[in-house]
Amino acid sequence: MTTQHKARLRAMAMAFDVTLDGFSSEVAARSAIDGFHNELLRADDLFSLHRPDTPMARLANGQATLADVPREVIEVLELCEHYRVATGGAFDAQRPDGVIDPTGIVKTWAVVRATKRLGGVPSWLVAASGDIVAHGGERRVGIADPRVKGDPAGSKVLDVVALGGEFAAVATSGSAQVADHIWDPVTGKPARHFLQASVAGQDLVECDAWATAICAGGGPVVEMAVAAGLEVLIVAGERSEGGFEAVSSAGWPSASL
Amino acid sequence: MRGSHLAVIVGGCAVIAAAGFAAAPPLHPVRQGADPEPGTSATPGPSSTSASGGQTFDGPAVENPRGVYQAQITVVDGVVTDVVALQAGTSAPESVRVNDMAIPLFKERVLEAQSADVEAVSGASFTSPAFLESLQGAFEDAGL
Repeated sequence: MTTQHKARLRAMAMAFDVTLDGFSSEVAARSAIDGFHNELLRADDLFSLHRPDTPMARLANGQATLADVPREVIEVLELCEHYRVATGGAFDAQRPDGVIDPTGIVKTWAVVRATKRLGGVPSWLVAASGDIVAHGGERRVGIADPRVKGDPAGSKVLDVVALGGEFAAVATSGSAQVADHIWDPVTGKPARHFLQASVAGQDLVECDAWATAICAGGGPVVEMAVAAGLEVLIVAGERSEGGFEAVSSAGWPSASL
Repeated sequence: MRGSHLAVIVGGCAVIAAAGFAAAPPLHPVRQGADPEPGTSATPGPSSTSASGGQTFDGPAVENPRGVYQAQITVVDGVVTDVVALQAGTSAPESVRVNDMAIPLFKERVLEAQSADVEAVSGASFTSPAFLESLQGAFEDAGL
Protein backbone atom coordinates (compact mmCIF):
# COMPACT_ATOMS: atom_id res chain seq x y z
CA MET A 1 0.00 0.00 0.00
CA THR A 2 1.30 3.44 -0.87
CA THR A 3 0.51 6.65 0.86
CA GLN A 4 0.86 10.30 0.02
CA HIS A 5 3.64 12.28 1.65
CA LYS A 6 3.43 16.04 1.89
CA ALA A 7 5.92 18.54 3.25
CA ARG A 8 6.09 22.32 3.41
CA LEU A 9 9.72 23.41 3.16
CA ARG A 10 11.23 26.85 3.64
CA ALA A 11 14.17 28.21 1.68
CA MET A 12 15.00 31.51 0.00
CA ALA A 13 12.45 33.07 2.37
CA MET A 14 9.66 31.27 0.56
CA ALA A 15 7.45 28.25 1.03
CA PHE A 16 7.79 25.14 -1.11
CA ASP A 17 5.11 22.46 -0.94
CA VAL A 18 6.14 18.98 -2.01
CA THR A 19 3.69 16.13 -2.58
CA LEU A 20 5.01 12.63 -3.18
CA ASP A 21 2.80 9.76 -4.33
CA GLY A 22 3.44 6.10 -4.85
CA PHE A 23 6.01 5.65 -2.13
CA SER A 24 5.49 2.76 0.24
CA SER A 25 8.34 3.65 2.56
CA GLU A 26 8.15 6.53 4.99
CA VAL A 27 11.93 6.52 5.30
CA ALA A 28 12.45 6.72 1.56
CA ALA A 29 9.95 9.57 1.26
CA ARG A 30 11.63 11.46 4.11
CA SER A 31 15.01 10.97 2.46
CA ALA A 32 13.75 12.27 -0.88
CA ILE A 33 12.21 15.34 0.76
CA ASP A 34 15.40 16.05 2.74
CA GLY A 35 17.50 15.78 -0.40
CA PHE A 36 15.15 18.14 -2.20
CA HIS A 37 15.26 20.62 0.66
CA ASN A 38 19.05 20.55 0.87
CA GLU A 39 19.29 21.58 -2.77
CA LEU A 40 17.03 24.58 -2.12
CA LEU A 41 19.10 25.61 0.89
CA ARG A 42 22.21 25.36 -1.26
CA ALA A 43 20.70 28.03 -3.53
CA ASP A 44 20.37 30.31 -0.49
CA ASP A 45 24.04 29.81 0.29
CA LEU A 46 25.05 30.63 -3.27
CA PHE A 47 22.73 33.45 -4.27
CA SER A 48 21.44 35.47 -1.34
CA LEU A 49 22.27 39.11 -1.93
CA HIS A 50 21.47 39.98 1.66
CA ARG A 51 24.14 37.83 3.18
CA PRO A 52 27.45 39.46 2.26
CA ASP A 53 29.38 36.19 2.17
CA THR A 54 27.55 34.38 -0.62
CA PRO A 55 29.32 34.00 -3.97
CA MET A 56 26.61 36.01 -5.71
CA ALA A 57 26.82 38.85 -3.15
CA ARG A 58 30.62 38.91 -3.45
CA LEU A 59 30.32 39.01 -7.23
CA ALA A 60 27.76 41.81 -7.07
CA ASN A 61 29.87 44.01 -4.82
CA GLY A 62 33.08 43.42 -6.70
CA GLN A 63 34.82 41.24 -4.13
CA ALA A 64 34.84 38.26 -6.47
CA THR A 65 35.17 37.72 -10.20
CA LEU A 66 33.57 35.07 -12.37
CA ALA A 67 36.75 33.05 -11.96
CA ASP A 68 36.16 32.86 -8.20
CA VAL A 69 32.55 31.70 -8.03
CA PRO A 70 31.12 28.15 -8.11
CA ARG A 71 29.95 26.78 -11.44
CA GLU A 72 26.31 26.97 -10.32
CA VAL A 73 26.58 30.76 -10.22
CA ILE A 74 27.98 30.81 -13.74
CA GLU A 75 25.18 28.49 -14.81
CA VAL A 76 22.49 30.82 -13.49
CA LEU A 77 24.10 33.89 -14.99
CA GLU A 78 24.28 32.11 -18.33
CA LEU A 79 20.61 31.23 -18.00
CA CYS A 80 19.79 34.89 -17.39
CA GLU A 81 21.72 35.84 -20.50
CA HIS A 82 20.10 33.05 -22.50
CA TYR A 83 16.61 34.29 -21.65
CA ARG A 84 17.56 37.93 -22.13
CA VAL A 85 18.49 37.11 -25.73
CA ALA A 86 15.58 34.71 -26.27
CA THR A 87 13.00 37.25 -25.07
CA GLY A 88 14.43 40.13 -27.08
CA GLY A 89 15.55 41.88 -23.90
CA ALA A 90 12.22 41.61 -22.09
CA PHE A 91 13.74 39.36 -19.43
CA ASP A 92 16.79 41.19 -18.12
CA ALA A 93 18.41 40.55 -14.76
CA GLN A 94 20.66 43.59 -14.98
CA ARG A 95 19.85 46.36 -12.56
CA PRO A 96 20.24 50.02 -13.44
CA ASP A 97 23.50 50.08 -11.50
CA GLY A 98 24.87 47.38 -13.77
CA VAL A 99 24.78 44.58 -11.22
CA ILE A 100 23.30 41.31 -12.43
CA ASP A 101 20.63 40.23 -9.97
CA PRO A 102 19.43 36.73 -10.86
CA THR A 103 16.86 36.62 -8.06
CA GLY A 104 14.09 36.35 -10.62
CA ILE A 105 15.26 33.00 -11.87
CA VAL A 106 17.09 31.43 -8.92
CA LYS A 107 13.93 30.04 -7.36
CA THR A 108 12.85 27.97 -10.33
CA TRP A 109 16.42 27.06 -11.22
CA ALA A 110 16.87 25.69 -7.70
CA VAL A 111 13.56 23.80 -7.87
CA VAL A 112 14.43 22.14 -11.16
CA ARG A 113 17.81 21.18 -9.76
CA ALA A 114 16.24 19.86 -6.57
CA THR A 115 13.68 17.75 -8.41
CA LYS A 116 16.56 15.59 -9.62
CA ARG A 117 16.59 14.32 -6.01
CA LEU A 118 13.06 13.01 -6.61
CA GLY A 119 14.24 10.63 -9.32
CA GLY A 120 13.06 7.55 -7.45
CA VAL A 121 9.62 8.94 -6.66
CA PRO A 122 6.87 7.55 -8.92
CA SER A 123 4.78 10.71 -8.91
CA TRP A 124 5.38 14.14 -7.42
CA LEU A 125 4.23 17.74 -7.44
CA VAL A 126 6.17 20.78 -6.28
CA ALA A 127 4.45 24.10 -5.66
CA ALA A 128 7.13 26.76 -5.38
CA SER A 129 5.36 29.90 -4.20
CA GLY A 130 3.15 30.09 -7.25
CA ASP A 131 5.27 28.22 -9.78
CA ILE A 132 4.29 24.58 -10.17
CA VAL A 133 6.00 21.51 -11.62
CA ALA A 134 4.76 17.92 -11.62
CA HIS A 135 5.86 14.51 -12.84
CA GLY A 136 4.38 11.06 -13.19
CA GLY A 137 0.68 11.39 -13.93
CA GLU A 138 -1.68 14.26 -14.46
CA ARG A 139 -2.55 16.57 -11.62
CA ARG A 140 -4.95 19.47 -11.64
CA VAL A 141 -3.40 22.88 -11.01
CA GLY A 142 -5.36 26.11 -10.77
CA ILE A 143 -4.52 29.51 -12.19
CA ALA A 144 -4.87 32.12 -9.46
CA ASP A 145 -7.34 34.95 -9.43
CA PRO A 146 -5.01 37.96 -9.80
CA ARG A 147 -6.92 39.83 -7.08
CA VAL A 148 -6.01 37.25 -4.44
CA LYS A 149 -3.25 38.42 -2.12
CA GLY A 150 -0.98 36.02 -0.32
CA ASP A 151 -0.95 32.27 -0.79
CA PRO A 152 -3.61 31.48 -3.41
CA ALA A 153 -3.97 27.86 -2.25
CA GLY A 154 -7.60 27.10 -1.59
CA SER A 155 -8.91 30.24 -3.27
CA LYS A 156 -11.16 30.36 -6.31
CA VAL A 157 -9.28 30.00 -9.58
CA LEU A 158 -9.72 31.33 -13.10
CA ASP A 159 -8.72 28.19 -14.93
CA VAL A 160 -7.39 24.69 -14.35
CA VAL A 161 -4.54 23.07 -16.22
CA ALA A 162 -3.35 19.47 -16.22
CA LEU A 163 0.31 19.02 -15.34
CA GLY A 164 2.48 15.93 -15.13
CA GLY A 165 1.56 14.58 -18.55
CA GLU A 166 2.10 16.52 -21.76
CA PHE A 167 2.92 19.64 -19.74
CA ALA A 168 5.21 19.49 -16.73
CA ALA A 169 5.32 23.07 -15.53
CA VAL A 170 3.37 26.29 -15.19
CA ALA A 171 4.63 29.64 -13.94
CA THR A 172 2.64 32.81 -13.35
CA SER A 173 3.81 36.38 -13.12
CA GLY A 174 1.87 39.53 -12.47
CA SER A 175 1.04 42.40 -10.21
CA ALA A 176 -1.10 40.46 -7.72
CA GLN A 177 1.35 40.55 -4.87
CA VAL A 178 3.53 43.58 -5.38
CA ALA A 179 2.32 46.42 -7.55
CA ASP A 180 4.58 47.55 -10.37
CA HIS A 181 7.43 45.17 -9.63
CA ILE A 182 8.27 44.50 -13.26
CA TRP A 183 9.79 47.07 -15.54
CA ASP A 184 9.08 47.48 -19.23
CA PRO A 185 12.35 47.28 -21.14
CA VAL A 186 11.04 49.62 -23.85
CA THR A 187 9.65 52.44 -21.74
CA GLY A 188 11.79 51.95 -18.62
CA LYS A 189 8.61 52.41 -16.58
CA PRO A 190 6.64 49.92 -14.50
CA ALA A 191 5.06 47.37 -16.82
CA ARG A 192 1.25 47.50 -16.86
CA HIS A 193 0.58 45.41 -19.90
CA PHE A 194 -1.38 42.67 -18.16
CA LEU A 195 -2.76 41.74 -14.77
CA GLN A 196 -1.20 38.32 -14.99
CA ALA A 197 0.58 35.98 -17.39
CA SER A 198 0.82 32.21 -17.02
CA VAL A 199 3.13 30.08 -19.14
CA ALA A 200 2.92 26.28 -19.47
CA GLY A 201 5.66 24.08 -20.87
CA GLN A 202 8.13 21.37 -20.02
CA ASP A 203 10.79 23.34 -18.15
CA LEU A 204 9.85 25.40 -15.10
CA VAL A 205 12.74 27.84 -15.53
CA GLU A 206 11.72 28.51 -19.11
CA CYS A 207 8.09 29.05 -18.08
CA ASP A 208 9.17 31.38 -15.27
CA ALA A 209 11.46 33.48 -17.47
CA TRP A 210 8.84 33.87 -20.18
CA ALA A 211 6.05 34.72 -17.72
CA THR A 212 8.21 37.52 -16.33
CA ALA A 213 9.22 38.65 -19.81
CA ILE A 214 5.61 38.78 -20.99
CA CYS A 215 4.59 41.00 -18.07
CA ALA A 216 7.58 43.24 -18.81
CA GLY A 217 7.28 43.43 -22.59
CA GLY A 218 3.61 42.89 -23.35
CA GLY A 219 2.03 41.64 -26.56
CA PRO A 220 5.09 41.18 -28.77
CA VAL A 221 6.69 38.95 -26.14
CA VAL A 222 3.56 36.78 -25.97
CA GLU A 223 4.05 36.11 -29.64
CA MET A 224 7.69 35.18 -29.07
CA ALA A 225 6.78 32.79 -26.25
CA VAL A 226 4.33 30.93 -28.44
CA ALA A 227 6.90 30.79 -31.23
CA ALA A 228 9.27 29.23 -28.69
CA GLY A 229 6.78 26.40 -28.18
CA LEU A 230 5.15 27.54 -24.97
CA GLU A 231 1.48 27.92 -24.16
CA VAL A 232 0.26 31.14 -22.62
CA LEU A 233 -2.75 32.43 -20.69
CA ILE A 234 -2.94 36.20 -20.29
CA VAL A 235 -5.33 37.87 -17.88
CA ALA A 236 -5.53 41.30 -19.42
CA GLY A 237 -7.96 43.16 -17.21
CA GLU A 238 -11.06 43.13 -15.08
CA ARG A 239 -14.40 43.62 -16.82
CA SER A 240 -16.80 46.17 -15.42
CA GLU A 241 -19.59 43.60 -15.72
CA GLY A 242 -17.60 41.00 -13.78
CA GLY A 243 -14.94 38.46 -14.59
CA PHE A 244 -11.70 38.98 -16.45
CA GLU A 245 -10.74 39.50 -20.03
CA ALA A 246 -8.19 36.92 -21.03
CA VAL A 247 -6.58 35.33 -24.03
CA SER A 248 -5.02 31.91 -24.28
CA SER A 249 -2.81 30.39 -26.93
CA ALA A 250 -4.30 27.67 -29.09
CA GLY A 251 -2.75 24.79 -27.15
CA TRP A 252 -3.19 26.12 -23.61
CA PRO A 253 -3.82 22.94 -21.56
CA SER A 254 -7.12 23.85 -19.92
CA ALA A 255 -8.84 21.10 -17.99
CA SER A 256 -12.44 21.44 -16.95
CA LEU A 257 -13.08 23.55 -13.89
CA MET B 1 -5.48 16.97 -24.39
CA ARG B 2 -3.77 19.62 -26.44
CA GLY B 3 -6.25 22.07 -27.90
CA SER B 4 -9.14 19.84 -26.96
CA HIS B 5 -10.76 22.29 -24.60
CA LEU B 6 -13.39 24.78 -25.62
CA ALA B 7 -12.62 28.23 -24.39
CA VAL B 8 -15.39 30.68 -23.76
CA ILE B 9 -15.31 32.61 -26.99
CA VAL B 10 -16.23 36.24 -26.83
CA GLY B 11 -18.29 37.42 -29.76
CA GLY B 12 -16.58 36.85 -33.06
CA CYS B 13 -13.13 37.70 -31.82
CA ALA B 14 -11.76 34.17 -31.56
CA VAL B 15 -9.03 35.07 -33.99
CA ILE B 16 -7.55 38.51 -33.72
CA ALA B 17 -6.07 40.16 -36.77
CA ALA B 18 -2.40 39.45 -37.24
CA ALA B 19 -1.57 42.92 -38.49
CA GLY B 20 -1.13 44.46 -35.07
CA PHE B 21 1.96 42.52 -34.17
CA ALA B 22 4.04 44.04 -36.93
CA ALA B 23 2.94 47.47 -35.79
CA ALA B 24 3.94 46.85 -32.20
CA PRO B 25 6.88 48.85 -30.92
CA PRO B 26 10.25 47.17 -31.34
CA LEU B 27 12.05 45.95 -28.29
CA HIS B 28 15.10 47.95 -27.44
CA PRO B 29 17.86 46.52 -25.31
CA VAL B 30 16.95 48.63 -22.34
CA ARG B 31 17.29 46.94 -19.02
CA GLN B 32 14.39 45.76 -16.90
CA GLY B 33 15.95 46.21 -13.50
CA ALA B 34 14.69 47.81 -10.38
CA ASP B 35 14.45 51.54 -10.73
CA PRO B 36 13.79 52.96 -7.32
CA GLU B 37 12.45 56.45 -7.11
CA PRO B 38 14.86 59.04 -5.78
CA GLY B 39 14.87 59.09 -2.04
CA THR B 40 13.36 55.65 -1.57
CA SER B 41 16.53 53.64 -1.23
CA ALA B 42 17.15 54.07 2.43
CA THR B 43 20.14 52.49 4.08
CA PRO B 44 19.81 50.23 7.11
CA GLY B 45 18.21 52.56 9.56
CA PRO B 46 19.18 53.22 13.15
CA SER B 47 16.75 52.14 15.78
CA SER B 48 14.38 54.64 17.25
CA THR B 49 11.79 54.69 19.99
CA SER B 50 8.21 54.36 18.84
CA ALA B 51 5.13 55.94 20.37
CA SER B 52 4.23 52.62 21.96
CA GLY B 53 7.42 52.63 23.97
CA GLY B 54 9.05 49.92 21.90
CA GLN B 55 12.07 50.27 19.71
CA THR B 56 11.82 50.18 15.95
CA PHE B 57 14.46 48.69 13.68
CA ASP B 58 14.59 49.38 9.97
CA GLY B 59 15.93 46.58 7.80
CA PRO B 60 18.15 47.44 4.87
CA ALA B 61 16.46 48.50 1.63
CA VAL B 62 16.82 45.36 -0.49
CA GLU B 63 16.53 45.78 -4.22
CA ASN B 64 15.71 43.13 -6.79
CA PRO B 65 14.20 43.21 -10.28
CA ARG B 66 10.80 43.48 -8.66
CA GLY B 67 11.53 46.66 -6.82
CA VAL B 68 12.82 47.91 -3.50
CA TYR B 69 11.70 46.35 -0.25
CA GLN B 70 12.30 47.49 3.29
CA ALA B 71 10.97 46.04 6.50
CA GLN B 72 10.60 47.70 9.88
CA ILE B 73 10.03 45.83 13.12
CA THR B 74 8.94 47.14 16.49
CA VAL B 75 10.35 45.42 19.55
CA VAL B 76 8.92 45.76 23.05
CA ASP B 77 10.81 43.99 25.83
CA GLY B 78 12.55 41.74 23.34
CA VAL B 79 9.31 40.75 21.61
CA VAL B 80 8.46 41.77 18.06
CA THR B 81 5.14 43.56 18.24
CA ASP B 82 4.84 44.85 14.71
CA VAL B 83 6.22 44.30 11.22
CA VAL B 84 5.55 46.83 8.51
CA ALA B 85 6.74 47.30 4.96
CA LEU B 86 8.37 50.71 4.61
CA GLN B 87 8.83 50.02 0.91
CA ALA B 88 7.16 47.38 -1.24
CA GLY B 89 6.86 48.40 -4.84
CA THR B 90 5.59 51.73 -6.09
CA SER B 91 2.10 52.78 -7.13
CA ALA B 92 -1.05 50.83 -7.90
CA PRO B 93 -1.32 49.01 -11.21
CA GLU B 94 -3.76 49.81 -13.96
CA SER B 95 -5.24 47.14 -16.07
CA VAL B 96 -4.97 47.31 -19.81
CA ARG B 97 -7.72 45.99 -22.01
CA VAL B 98 -7.00 42.95 -24.07
CA ASN B 99 -8.12 44.80 -27.18
CA ASP B 100 -4.81 46.60 -27.14
CA MET B 101 -2.94 43.45 -27.98
CA ALA B 102 -3.26 42.11 -31.45
CA ILE B 103 -2.00 38.58 -31.45
CA PRO B 104 -2.95 36.04 -34.05
CA LEU B 105 -4.44 32.65 -33.26
CA PHE B 106 -5.34 33.40 -29.70
CA LYS B 107 -8.61 32.62 -28.05
CA GLU B 108 -10.19 35.56 -26.35
CA ARG B 109 -11.90 34.41 -23.20
CA VAL B 110 -13.88 35.66 -20.25
CA LEU B 111 -12.77 33.97 -17.04
CA GLU B 112 -14.61 33.94 -13.74
CA ALA B 113 -13.08 33.00 -10.40
CA GLN B 114 -14.57 29.64 -9.48
CA SER B 115 -14.09 26.95 -6.91
CA ALA B 116 -12.22 23.98 -8.33
CA ASP B 117 -10.68 20.80 -7.03
CA VAL B 118 -6.98 21.42 -7.58
CA GLU B 119 -3.76 20.25 -5.93
CA ALA B 120 -1.92 23.55 -6.28
CA VAL B 121 -2.45 27.07 -7.57
CA SER B 122 -0.12 28.99 -9.86
CA GLY B 123 0.03 32.70 -9.13
CA ALA B 124 2.45 35.58 -8.81
CA SER B 125 5.07 34.75 -6.18
CA PHE B 126 3.37 35.36 -2.87
CA THR B 127 6.40 36.01 -0.73
CA SER B 128 8.89 38.62 -1.67
CA PRO B 129 12.40 37.33 -1.04
CA ALA B 130 13.67 40.89 -0.89
CA PHE B 131 11.14 41.89 1.76
CA LEU B 132 12.05 38.91 3.88
CA GLU B 133 15.75 39.60 3.45
CA SER B 134 15.15 43.13 4.69
CA LEU B 135 13.13 41.71 7.58
CA GLN B 136 16.00 39.42 8.47
CA GLY B 137 18.31 42.43 8.54
CA ALA B 138 15.99 44.24 10.94
CA PHE B 139 15.99 41.21 13.24
CA GLU B 140 19.76 41.12 13.24
CA ASP B 141 19.96 44.83 14.06
CA ALA B 142 17.56 44.25 16.94
CA GLY B 143 19.75 41.42 18.22
CA LEU B 144 16.90 38.92 17.96
